[in-house]
Amino acid sequence: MEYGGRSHVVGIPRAMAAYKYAPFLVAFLEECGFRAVVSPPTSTSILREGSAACVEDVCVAVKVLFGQALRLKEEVDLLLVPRPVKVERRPHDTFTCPKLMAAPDMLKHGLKDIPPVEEFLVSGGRDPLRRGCLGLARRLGIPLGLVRRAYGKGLEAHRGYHELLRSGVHPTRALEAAVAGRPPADGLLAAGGGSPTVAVVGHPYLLGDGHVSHHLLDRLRNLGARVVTSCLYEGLGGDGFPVPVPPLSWSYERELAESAAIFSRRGDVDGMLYVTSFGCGPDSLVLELLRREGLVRPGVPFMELVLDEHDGPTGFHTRVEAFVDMLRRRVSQREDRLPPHG
Amino acid sequence: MKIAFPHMGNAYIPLKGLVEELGLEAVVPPRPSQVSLRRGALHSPEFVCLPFKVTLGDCMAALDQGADTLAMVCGMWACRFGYYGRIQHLILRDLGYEFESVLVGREEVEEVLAKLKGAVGRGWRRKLVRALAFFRAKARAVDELERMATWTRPREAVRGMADRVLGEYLAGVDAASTLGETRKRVEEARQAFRSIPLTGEPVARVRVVGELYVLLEPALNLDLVRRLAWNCRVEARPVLSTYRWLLHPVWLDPRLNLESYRARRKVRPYLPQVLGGEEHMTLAGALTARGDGFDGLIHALPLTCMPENICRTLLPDLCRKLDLPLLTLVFDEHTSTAGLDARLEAFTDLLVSRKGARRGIGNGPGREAFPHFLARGTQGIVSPRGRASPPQDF
Ligand code: SF4
Ligand code: SF4
Repeated sequence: MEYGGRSHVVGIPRAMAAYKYAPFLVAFLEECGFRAVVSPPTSTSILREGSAACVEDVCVAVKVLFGQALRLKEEVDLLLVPRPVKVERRPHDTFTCPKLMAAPDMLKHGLKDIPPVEEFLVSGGRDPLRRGCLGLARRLGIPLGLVRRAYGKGLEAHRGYHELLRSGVHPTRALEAAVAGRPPADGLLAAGGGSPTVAVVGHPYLLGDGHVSHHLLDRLRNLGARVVTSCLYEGLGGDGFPVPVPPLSWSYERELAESAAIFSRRGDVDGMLYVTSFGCGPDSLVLELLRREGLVRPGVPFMELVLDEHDGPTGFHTRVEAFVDMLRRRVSQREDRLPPHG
Repeated sequence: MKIAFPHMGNAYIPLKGLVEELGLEAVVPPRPSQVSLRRGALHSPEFVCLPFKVTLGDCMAALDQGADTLAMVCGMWACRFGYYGRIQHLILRDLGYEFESVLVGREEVEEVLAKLKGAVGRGWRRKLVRALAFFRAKARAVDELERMATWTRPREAVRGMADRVLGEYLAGVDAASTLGETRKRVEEARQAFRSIPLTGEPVARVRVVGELYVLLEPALNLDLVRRLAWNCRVEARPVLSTYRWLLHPVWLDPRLNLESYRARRKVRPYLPQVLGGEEHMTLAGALTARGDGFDGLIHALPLTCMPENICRTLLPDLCRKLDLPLLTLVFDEHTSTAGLDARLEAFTDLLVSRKGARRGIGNGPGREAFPHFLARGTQGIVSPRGRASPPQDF
């Protein structure tokens, strides 16, 4: 594609790794003179179209990607999909889930009549994001002088996004706010206290996708719980984690495993939910490691929630409610046992 | 030290040779079956891929038979296979089994060697070199037998002859205790295969691509290759082989590594990243299928396999452009043979009608019907042995 400035609209499907890199990309592209749009939050019809367009046994994340790309296809000139591969610096090779690493390829070959698909490769080097920008700039014909400034802008947005997530803003609103470049509409997820405290661990593209996760986070809050999510540790990548986690080659799953290990040792967490997608590859093994290597301390109730677009929200919510009730009973029992003045 | 390892096709023959040549004892569990699969699945995570479940079942059977050491390859790849050993051994220990783990790849080379030294004793270096030579010879022998059987099966006059010969000589290779004897068994097998009466050419040739275990383990793919040969008279050639799986990682046959490299280069425009499975062989297999003289492609994969599901997304588009008929078969522990035969037959009909050849075996589409068949050969970027091999390779 020729470098054409604002006349060109770049669309970023709100799916998968876009939940990590969309704020960065939007700021970067806007500074380069493109118009960048992120597709709207997933809806029933988006998910339905996505499921119809791709093979049936893949995880829901891929189906959302397909649906979101289809939603954008009329209004944009180019689809931009992040491709995270080696996102951290480690002595050994690291990867992300194969489906994230092949997301642009799946779109390119899996969908017909869509605008050209461009990738944002985040992989290797001292600064993977910077490398990704240079590659993107080369392919889109963005002048090099512009790239440096735009990269700075992007990084600013990226850091801002991480700050929002780490301070406990609802991931959906944090993404909205970071993309739009304004403060989040809503307060903090854990604000107002509440009891019990429920830790929710899962990929940001599941937790942040209200439709796919059956609005789990809001639901928990409505039940009166205090909610903390693994997004609190987003991008902290290994440093400063006091809990030893066995080596994992999947960077994002390692983040989740680390968050789970920390939550189960934090003392203020009464129970933990691990949100995974039906047919998720890495999670099937990471969950096993969490349980069997004692990463999640046995004293902390732990439940796995499987998201499947064929199941309605009813059964899901029943399980969540039962879990919260159970935690509440445990908390009150514990408080009964305590002596009256601490 | 009684060492056991999970099954993978006929890999147990060379592996057993390796272990025994080192002077250790090998415990070979029964061939995988629906029983071992179900047993493994019972203790596996729900969404894990099929090979995990079946190999876990194998390990349990081997431990029941008295194995005290479990060996498994292990690594930090993008795909799940590298974690199999680690997690299976955790599961088995939680089930109350006691054993030593040898996780080749996870542990440092020195560590593995130290364990070996302890178990083998004096002269371990010399023994190891000899054992590796033996291992390679047996792997090659098994591979040759398998290829002869694959070629003969769809052409044999009496169903089951090729498999009888195959079974007999696999046992012979398994029992062979010297290099010379191994070679002799292969020669004898060649004669035996040549003496099988044939009826004519197969009605079509298909290439089978997909995930390794499902491709090569008859218990997992419901005997796909044999089914095609017997019921449809289709010659089905898997793009992977046990030989390749065994020797590729240890660089005992650099041709395999070169072949892999070429395949990766070939699929780079479609899939630039390494996904940790056999995705490059799958796509390269599709890209070269026409040129190698195949009429169609069968893609076999386990239900939640990550790399192959990605290929599954890509293949329809690719095959349309290549004008290559494609059949996708997804396997899990609940897959049954019902419906499989019907799909295979329908696919065969499609292939035959597309070739414009007459169907029927009696008055068979003999060689005249396929003038290029024998002449063309496989120009093989991904032919199973990494070199051009003519269809009749013995
Ligand atoms: S990590 Fe799981 S949910 Fe995410 S893309 Fe991979 S398979 Fe899908
Ligand atoms: S290639 Fe597929 S079946 Fe094999 S380990 Fe990976 S996901 Fe599982």
